[in-house]
Amino acid sequence: MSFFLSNPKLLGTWAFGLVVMCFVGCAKEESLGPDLESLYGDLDYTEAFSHNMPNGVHFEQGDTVRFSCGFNLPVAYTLSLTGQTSGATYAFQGQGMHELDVLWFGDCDNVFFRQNEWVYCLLEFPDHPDDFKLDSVFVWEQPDLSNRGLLLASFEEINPIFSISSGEFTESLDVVTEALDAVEGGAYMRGIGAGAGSWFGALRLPLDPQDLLGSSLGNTYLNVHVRSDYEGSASVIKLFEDSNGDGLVTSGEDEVFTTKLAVNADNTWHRISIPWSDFELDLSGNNVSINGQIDLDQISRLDCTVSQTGTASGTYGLDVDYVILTFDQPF
Amino acid sequence: MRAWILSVICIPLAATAQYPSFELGGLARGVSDVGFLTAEDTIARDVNVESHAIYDLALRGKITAKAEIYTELRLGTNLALFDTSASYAQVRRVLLSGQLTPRWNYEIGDIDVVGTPFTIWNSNTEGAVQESALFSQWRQLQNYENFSESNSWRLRGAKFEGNWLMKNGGEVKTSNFVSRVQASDEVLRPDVVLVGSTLSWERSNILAAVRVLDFATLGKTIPDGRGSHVANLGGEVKWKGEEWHLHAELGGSTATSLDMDGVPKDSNSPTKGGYWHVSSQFDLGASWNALISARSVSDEYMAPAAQTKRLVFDAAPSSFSQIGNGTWARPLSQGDLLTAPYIPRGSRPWNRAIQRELMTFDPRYGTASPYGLATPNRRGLEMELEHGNAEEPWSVVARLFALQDLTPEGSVARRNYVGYAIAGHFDLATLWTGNRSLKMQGGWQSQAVQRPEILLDPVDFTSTVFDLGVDWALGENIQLGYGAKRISSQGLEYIAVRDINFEVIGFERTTLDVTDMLHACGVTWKINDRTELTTQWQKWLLRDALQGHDGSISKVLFLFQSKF
Repeated sequence: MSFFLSNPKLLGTWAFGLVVMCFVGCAKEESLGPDLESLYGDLDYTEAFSHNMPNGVHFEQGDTVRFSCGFNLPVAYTLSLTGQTSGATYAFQGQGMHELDVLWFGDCDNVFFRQNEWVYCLLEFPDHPDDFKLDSVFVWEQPDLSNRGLLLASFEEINPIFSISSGEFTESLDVVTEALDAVEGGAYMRGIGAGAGSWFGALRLPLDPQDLLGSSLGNTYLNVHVRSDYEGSASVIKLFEDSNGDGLVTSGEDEVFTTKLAVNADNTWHRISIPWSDFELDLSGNNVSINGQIDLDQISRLDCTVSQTGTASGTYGLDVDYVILTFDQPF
Repeated sequence: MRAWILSVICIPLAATAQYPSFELGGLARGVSDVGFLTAEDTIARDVNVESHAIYDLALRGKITAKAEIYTELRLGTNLALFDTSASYAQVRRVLLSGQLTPRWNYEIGDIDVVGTPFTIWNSNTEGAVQESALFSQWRQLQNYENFSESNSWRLRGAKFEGNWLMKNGGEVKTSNFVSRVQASDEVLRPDVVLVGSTLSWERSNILAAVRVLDFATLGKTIPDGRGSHVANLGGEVKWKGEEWHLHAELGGSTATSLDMDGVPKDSNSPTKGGYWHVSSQFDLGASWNALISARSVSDEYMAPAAQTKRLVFDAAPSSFSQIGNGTWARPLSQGDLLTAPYIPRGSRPWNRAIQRELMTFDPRYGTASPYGLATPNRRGLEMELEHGNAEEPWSVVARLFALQDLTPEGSVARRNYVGYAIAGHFDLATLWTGNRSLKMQGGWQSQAVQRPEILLDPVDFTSTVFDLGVDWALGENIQLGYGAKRISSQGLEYIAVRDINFEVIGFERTTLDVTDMLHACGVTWKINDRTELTTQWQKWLLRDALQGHDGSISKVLFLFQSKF
């Protein structure tokens, strides 16, 4: 120590050097991890939560609803829209740096928002469960969402391309019109059958392979809205090929692919989205296997049949509305 | 070498002979732990009794000139009356060692490995600062049970050491080890090995060393598995002068980036980190020493064998895990850690595993350096002033540190950590003449972390540890003792949650206002130089003010130990 005591400058230099060295290290420019303020900061609103359609939105006229809100934090939010009569829902989720600014085109998660319906708009923040805002918007008309895919049947068509086909066990199979309870528009198909059969009628939808160009089995979704009040009801979806290219769908000559959907008997509309990769080769009856693969360039027709989950005798039925093919993602 | 030193300590009754020759030594211990809850704390069970007796027999056998075997055989019973199934036998340690050549030694079996606090280091447990003898004897017991009597890691593997004397007086040494840290189940869990090598050169007052480590996951030991590594490379230099010492260490790590399932990422950009540490020790004369050090550890520096915790803090207490009439599922207190029962193959809060991820720590013991010097994302200064040692009439050691986040976490500002500790002992018998000694010891340790915020509740967290002990020798063989310990922490802290690649992925907002207060008084009867019996009564006062819980537990502890 006498060495340092006799050289106090050296001791001071050494201590100063250590302090300076503390600032030598691999410090990073940006802070580590998520922003704490967005997780635990107190949330204040710099701009009230509101939208631009105080007199209601006319989707038919191309209106959209712009929701906006400003906050003091970069915060995660969820904006939930709920139709008060339809029960339809839709949600926006995001991370607003300091604001929320989203456009609603009438999209829906499950069933459609109805015309003349109040939609409650709830703005919530997962990291701030005590902070939320509520607003509402009136929907005058349902939006036209057919541009989201290839609409096969909405039952509102003046010149429909679909047909319906009855059978031995069919009790009724009709398009119900001027129906206030349609999931979309004012019409839907209702089929009811009785007995121990499994085919009580079908909705037949012709398909043009040209409309499927560029798509694949994994990214093609059949979206269908169904409702039933009969226990054990189901819909068998059949995909028909024109395998031999004769322009006809002939049993025993062309391949058929199917998938079966059980339908809840809760008298509530449900949207079911099925990727085409879920279809399996149907070898029932005298159906045949040619290559066992769905060839998109040979697809000719799609049937939604009224059926049952088993083979018991009883009464079965279901309602079908708004059948649309979408590509890349479900409707 | 370490095993040889231990065996010398544990095997005092040695009788050498021609090969093979054997020596025997050991330890006998009886423990009884009776716990009581107060009337307002209990609804069903208010007395808890744990007891056991163990005999550790150490056997050192010189088989040949090149091979020596050291084993520790444990015979134990939980003292359950009329239940012979409660008795057991197990091997605590097996080590084969010897000299391969005049320059090479080897150890195979349960080896002890230690490096530096940045590479391989079994950090000391928290919650003690010159604690009373009544507490420290139980802490030593726990350290013995968990192979944590030093900063070494007890590993299973092999170690090879070599040394060469150079013509200029220098000496080159190398120490290499390999250990299987995890065994593969051949389905999902791969083999994990820890491999290390140290090469050092020493001459008169200079030492230079290079150390390499690899915590390697062997992917090929499971189907479709892929290997990963955490590799460390470090170097250190020591210089010893007459009045001052200098130590500098520098190193880094590179680790395979893993996905959430622990599988190496396809686009693998390794996680890289580094550290440096410089310290100087000064001999101030008259038994005074001073130490000053500075360090910086980056946020992604990974050292699986140094950034560990000895304790699994989320384990449930072994006795009275719920108090307050069953309303408080209390966390582990310091009393639980000291008196955790030993159960063969049973669950204990003590941990001996080395793993890649950072283990959770208990913020009540402070958040400045939960993983010791190797705690990631810290920089700062430490100072220490020391006088005397335990053999002298009095001693004191004072420490002060000022640390800072190297990179801010979740905020634009860095947290600042300030801590100090002062501890020592004083033999009051030096004030009078006579045989009866009265020794006091104790310490106070405090650390605080702060960070101002505008839109957040600011970080403001303090934790303290207080220890006091008084030992009064009534005669040559009887000693009365009193001990007090208080551990408390209050405030708010945001604790970083890190993923397997040490990336901060979130924060846990932690608010604490807890206090553990322990009182102990007891008597020790030294039956002879190697045998003693201690009976003590402990009172634990536990409080969690934020949750509105408090409770107390009483313990009567008997500890009989004999070394032979």
